[in-house]
Amino acid sequence: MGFRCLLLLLIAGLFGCRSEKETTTESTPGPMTVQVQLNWFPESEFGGLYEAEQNGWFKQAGLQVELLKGGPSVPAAQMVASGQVDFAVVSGPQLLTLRSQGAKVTAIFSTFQRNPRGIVVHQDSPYTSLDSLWKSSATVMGEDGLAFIKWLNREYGGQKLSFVPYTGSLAPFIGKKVDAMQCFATAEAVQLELEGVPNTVFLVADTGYNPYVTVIAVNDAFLEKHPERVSGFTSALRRGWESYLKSPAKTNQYMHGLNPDMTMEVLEKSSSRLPAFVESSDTQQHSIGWMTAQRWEELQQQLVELGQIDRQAAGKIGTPFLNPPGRDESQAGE
Amino acid sequence: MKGGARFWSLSWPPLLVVCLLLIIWQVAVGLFSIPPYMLPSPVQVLQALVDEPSRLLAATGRTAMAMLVGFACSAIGGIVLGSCLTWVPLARRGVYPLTLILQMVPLVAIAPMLVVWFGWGIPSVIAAACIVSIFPVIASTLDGLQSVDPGLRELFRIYGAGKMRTWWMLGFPAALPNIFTGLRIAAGLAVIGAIVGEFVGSYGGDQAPLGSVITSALKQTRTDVVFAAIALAAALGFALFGLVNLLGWWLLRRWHTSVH
Repeated sequence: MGFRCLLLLLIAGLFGCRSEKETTTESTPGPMTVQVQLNWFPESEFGGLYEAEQNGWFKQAGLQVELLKGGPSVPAAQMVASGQVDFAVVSGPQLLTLRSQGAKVTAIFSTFQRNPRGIVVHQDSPYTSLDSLWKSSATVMGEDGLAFIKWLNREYGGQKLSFVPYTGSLAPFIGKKVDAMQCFATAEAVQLELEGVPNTVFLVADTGYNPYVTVIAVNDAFLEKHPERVSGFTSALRRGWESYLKSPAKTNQYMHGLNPDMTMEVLEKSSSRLPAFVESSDTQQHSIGWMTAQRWEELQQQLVELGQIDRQAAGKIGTPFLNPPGRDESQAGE
Repeated sequence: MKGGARFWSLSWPPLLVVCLLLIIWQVAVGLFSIPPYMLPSPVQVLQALVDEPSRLLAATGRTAMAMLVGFACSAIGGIVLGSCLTWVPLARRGVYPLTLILQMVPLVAIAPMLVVWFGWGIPSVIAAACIVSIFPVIASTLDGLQSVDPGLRELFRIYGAGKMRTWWMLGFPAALPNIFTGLRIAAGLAVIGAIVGEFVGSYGGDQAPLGSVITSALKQTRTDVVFAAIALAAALGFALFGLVNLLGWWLLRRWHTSVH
């Protein structure tokens, strides 16, 4: 028994035992402190989160939200799955992969309705389409482990391409050390344009791969214990996004302070491009952040076909999302 | 004691500890239902190795190549630089403290610059492995050469031996035990340098070495593949350490007490 206790203590120490904190925060009056792990540095993609935090809308929902900066080596998805943080910004494919491995995480908000992920090339590049690029022996700066690269490999071949790691620096692309790089049409492409590098973006969404690429995920234990807090979180976040899309200037200024590499010019231009990706007929009918079962099922099917998720393990996924309270509350959960 | 029996008597205690740790790990994962994305069991890691042997072995080969060349550069460069610093006292006072920079600058910070200087692929990774592992060789060579018996040095001087001859026949052999201590430390560091260099400086896809396999598997939450790649990297480190030990034993076996 003593040995078992010792092992339990060791593992709790290694992976972070959160029970004490939860008990404390629950028993004390005032807002409950929760942490949101971002998967990248502060930029307009997180505008709604910072807007809600800056305006105190999370606090009104009884939450003291800490937004933790991310980066290329921050395993945000694993952190929320293990309960190290309560919420995290993860990609839809990551969330399904984790659920297929038994992780208890649920998507509660999709920032983008249309996948802004793409491949950017110089405007004077000989590659005029994803097809011509992917059939060449070009060097692409990108994370070749990501599902969308596998998708493109399956669609267009890609056997001759060389991949080099993307660590967040645009310098190799600007210096033409690489022929193409992965990007968000709302982020890197804008930065390049403002650096005086004319470019063309090939959107992956146009090839038939259009997952919910940036979702807010919650740890299921937290969701089960505090459903009303999660609901309050998503309502505040929805309000944050609606407000940020209308007037992003103040929050952009704040994010620029947190990430000085993102100039105000980039943030302004980037946020002006967001509505095309954040809004859709679904969001008009329901609310910003809305997700449909059909699109999650389509993604699951695609990931199984790509070999990212084992066909048998896909059975463990279940319902991976919970919609934010919509305009018509009765439709929540779809 | 015969070679085989001696090898076995040296090997069984660490092997036993490794086996025990693996059993505890396997039992703990089952007992506490630890999900694979947090900590895969040893059996799952083994399964990952079995599932993709050609990809992982090819990756190991690429990392081994960079590690070996990087280690060879640091071994030769470290011995030459350490010897030069012994010969020129002014250079020793001026340059030796600066070589400490190699030890102190975090590799992750300079690795992106290596890509700028050497381009992607094996040259950057070799440079990373060399930068991280060269200092122990310089320091141990310097210590070894400075510890040579002054009486013997005087004898060589009286017989009119030149600098190179004294180095080759007296200083270098006398410094070998120290040099091999530095090389053993450098062997482990070369693996670390190669893997970190690969995180930012290597090709992915079909040309991926172990460092790229690790970052790619992390993105896919394939923790079992991450651990499999780490195990292979550790095996490379052990192999290089063993190789250095073997070479040290072969060179020192006739005269130095450390190998008896």
